[in-house]
Amino acid sequence: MRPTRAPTINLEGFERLVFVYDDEDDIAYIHIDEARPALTERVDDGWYLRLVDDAIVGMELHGLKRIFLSTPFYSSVFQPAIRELEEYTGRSFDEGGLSAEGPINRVPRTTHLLIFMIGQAIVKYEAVRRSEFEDAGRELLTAS
Amino acid sequence: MCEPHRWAQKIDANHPELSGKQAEVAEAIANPEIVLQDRDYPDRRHFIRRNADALYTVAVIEYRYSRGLLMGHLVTAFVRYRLRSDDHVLYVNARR
Repeated sequence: MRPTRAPTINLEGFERLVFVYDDEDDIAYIHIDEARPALTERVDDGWYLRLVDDAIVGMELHGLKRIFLSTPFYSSVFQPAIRELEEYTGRSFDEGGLSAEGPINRVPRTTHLLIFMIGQAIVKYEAVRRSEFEDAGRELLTAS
Repeated sequence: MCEPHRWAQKIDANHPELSGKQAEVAEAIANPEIVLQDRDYPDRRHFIRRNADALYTVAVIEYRYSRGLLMGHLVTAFVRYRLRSDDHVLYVNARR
């Protein structure tokens, strides 16, 4: 289960998604198809990818309201999906937690959001790994 | 710290790799090898302990006042396979 390469996503097998917003702790969980046992990788502050081997099976965002929705860019990216999930579930995002699961064609905006956020997360992941390799290279040079 | 229904809602539902592993998470909190400062929330700490598979069990704890007492509240828990160079380490158990 331990990843060995940069994470990837299998869009061809992506048929359902699960969105869970934990209002008490301000965390959003988004699972591809279903929640499954996975390892977690922090790719940035508040951004966590869930991985099985090298495949991304979901993501977790800490501080959805406090950080993401208070940022104009991310707020504009999230709002269409939140409105869609409110319509889909008949529940208000601002009145406690919001959970939804269904085929991706029933929640297309949320699906677009997930793919966009995973793309951003992969870019962040690769930037971190590049930085770590550069740091390790500098340490080797210094040591020699 | 975490009532059974909250464990089911939070961990069983979103982190099935830790389903049934309350004792492993509790051990990470009680006897952490490493404690990290959460990078966004000043009142959250990540209690970390290696498990039998040499992976890191992480319990994210938020400190809150409840009835005048400072209580730890389980925000989430998950399994990491590596730590990062920019993790903000508060504590390391050097005896291990």
